[in-house]
Amino acid sequence: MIAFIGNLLLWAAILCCILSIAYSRIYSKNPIRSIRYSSLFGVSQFLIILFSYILLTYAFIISDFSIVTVWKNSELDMPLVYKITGVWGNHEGSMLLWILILCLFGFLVIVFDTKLPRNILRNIIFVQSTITLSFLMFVVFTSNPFILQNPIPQDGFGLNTLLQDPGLIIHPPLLYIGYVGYSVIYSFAIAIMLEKQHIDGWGKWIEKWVYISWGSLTAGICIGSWWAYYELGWGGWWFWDPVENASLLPWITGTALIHSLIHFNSNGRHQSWTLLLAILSFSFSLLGTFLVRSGVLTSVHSFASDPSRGLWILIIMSVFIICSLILFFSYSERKLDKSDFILFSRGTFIQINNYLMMTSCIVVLLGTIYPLILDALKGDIITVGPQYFNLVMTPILILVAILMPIGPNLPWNDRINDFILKKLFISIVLTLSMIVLLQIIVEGKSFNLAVFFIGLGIWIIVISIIDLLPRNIDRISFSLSNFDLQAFKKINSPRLSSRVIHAGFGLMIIGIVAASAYAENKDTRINLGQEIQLNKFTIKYIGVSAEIGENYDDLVMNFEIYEEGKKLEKMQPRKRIFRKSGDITTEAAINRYFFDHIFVTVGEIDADYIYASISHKPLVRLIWLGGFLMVFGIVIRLINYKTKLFRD
Amino acid sequence: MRKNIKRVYLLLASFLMSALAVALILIALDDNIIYFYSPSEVDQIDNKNLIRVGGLVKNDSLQRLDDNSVKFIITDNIGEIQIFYKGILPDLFREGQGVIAEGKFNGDEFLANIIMAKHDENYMPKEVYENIRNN
Repeated sequence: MIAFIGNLLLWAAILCCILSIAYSRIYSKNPIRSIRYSSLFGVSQFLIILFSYILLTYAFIISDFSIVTVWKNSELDMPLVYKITGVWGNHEGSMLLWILILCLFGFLVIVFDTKLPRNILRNIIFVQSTITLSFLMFVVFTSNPFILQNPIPQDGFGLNTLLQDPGLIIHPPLLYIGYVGYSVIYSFAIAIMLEKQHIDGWGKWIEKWVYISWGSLTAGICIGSWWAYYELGWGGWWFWDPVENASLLPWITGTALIHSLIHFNSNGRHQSWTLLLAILSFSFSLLGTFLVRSGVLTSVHSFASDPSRGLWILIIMSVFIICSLILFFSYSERKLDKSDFILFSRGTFIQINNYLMMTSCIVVLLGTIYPLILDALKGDIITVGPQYFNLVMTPILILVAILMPIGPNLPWNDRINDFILKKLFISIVLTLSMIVLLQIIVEGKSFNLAVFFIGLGIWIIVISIIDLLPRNIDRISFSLSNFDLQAFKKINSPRLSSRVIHAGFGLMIIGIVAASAYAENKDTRINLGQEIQLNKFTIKYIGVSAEIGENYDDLVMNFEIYEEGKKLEKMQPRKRIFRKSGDITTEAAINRYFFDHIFVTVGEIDADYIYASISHKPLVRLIWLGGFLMVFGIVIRLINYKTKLFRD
Repeated sequence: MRKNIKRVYLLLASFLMSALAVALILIALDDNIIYFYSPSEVDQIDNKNLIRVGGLVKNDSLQRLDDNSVKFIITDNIGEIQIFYKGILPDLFREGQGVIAEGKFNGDEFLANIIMAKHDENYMPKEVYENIRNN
């Protein structure tokens, strides 16, 4: 029954897509009718897919094992939360989620972007529905979640044990909102380019979508990194794994897009960049989808999929990318640019940022698909090691870190003035003093490049904070009686949010450098009652206990931990044994120590001893704190009423 | 005129940076490519560099040594490689299952830095699968 309705809904959705495409094109001579009907079917698409997704979730909840997808990815004893979120823990279900979000964004544009010119909306619906149609057909013909089987098994396989974790609840949806959000931005770009004349101010329409997608993608990537950190057991947060890179590529172009858009909205310049980046961001989303699901790359993250699916995704991806690029290169409606070229202007710095972002894109892309190319050409099987990425990204990152805080301070169309120079000078002095202080305290006489890199992060944060001080602070005589709160209230939101985001990035850099350069680790055997010393921490293994979970049993290794005699919170890493399958996962124990982590995970266990890996990672929490700030910053931007982002 | 000259400088700078970037990429790429070999291809390896090898863990070959390290043999049903590893073995490491080891050869022994094991019942790293299937 469920499968029958599910399939019916999918076909109904396909029909809606076809109809909305048709109405968006055929009745172009009668725009009102065209809009009305194509919008109607655009909204219907969304509602129908929503029902089908809820239906699939329902099948998971009631453990309907007549449906193959449920049987392969769920089991009776699994906690309810993983039955619900496990829907997107497999290829078919996650594809349906992908399509749901695709329709959702189309729906949101139809319903909320009411001030759009009809022609533009019509074309957006056209492109969005075409994308939806392609993926719907892909799902129905190669990855149908509603396939039946007979006889009906008593129980299912359960979700992959690595996925039965809170990370599954938030990471995929956020990531998908990010990836798929770029689809509607892509549709906007195509719609603009299909117009025969230049459209003024179109940049304002896609602002909120750009922020939402970027913010969601940032959050998704950060949470993914955090999840890998504690789940995969050895405390790494980024592996330059092909699937991770696949999420980074749209993020990089998305970042460039935000800045180009800002420039376009202020000045009307960088229109071509904005259009191109809009196309590239979605193209990279599609590439990511391809890499993850086609099975061409080995990765912890990839779905086990057969190559024929990969071929279809490759075709879909190529068509959308090639068509849009052809359109882009033949689009020539540009306003003549008569302004002066100033090196130290905000616009130029955004331009430089674009170049740096594109360079890092190419670098990461090359490293990611080089194994594919080599395999296809020579049959050699290789992996591109993380050293490649670190080596090539570092110089780019240095340049970005130096220039990033300067750019927003420069004027758009004026020459640099005294006030700005004064601000920069103070910032340089402050930063250098802090670096020197850091060097003295941490390193003393020895040289460590880490101090320089941390200095870059400090540089970004210092300028960001100084930027947020009231403009006339040097003329205010600082006393409690005339402390001007009003001046702080006058900070406008775009400025606040950009400084918060940049500061978050700086914080992230500090966290990454400190945790990499100053981490200490001991992999060793510990006997019962034995103590291990790691820096100023003493870790003692005191024995095993057990905890029972819904579909698993935990074998808990208990550790006491002391910092120079003072007892800290106990640590309980564990081996989680899933009862039905016998699969074992290792759950690490993480103690927070100010901004550091103490990280303990166990390997083999015996009656009187265990093998444990104990690490101290200084300032590692700054990585995710920085990420959080970046997302927080974009949220500030989105909810700010002054810029009327949501009032059309 | 001034505006154009500034533009030319910027273009020149961009071009130089691009050339530098490309050079950097090619150098970095060259040194950091990790080749994958199966046990039967061992003879072809004269690689002193970091490489990956993969195969099935041979039954009854896992031994724990005195200094807390382990050794085991991987096979693709034709050839074998003796692997030494000091560290914590992944949870899903089992005899008879597929693994990939990354490290360097020291004579006839392979000293592994990382061991990667399967992460679900049905998963086998593509490279290992291809080799087993072909043999």
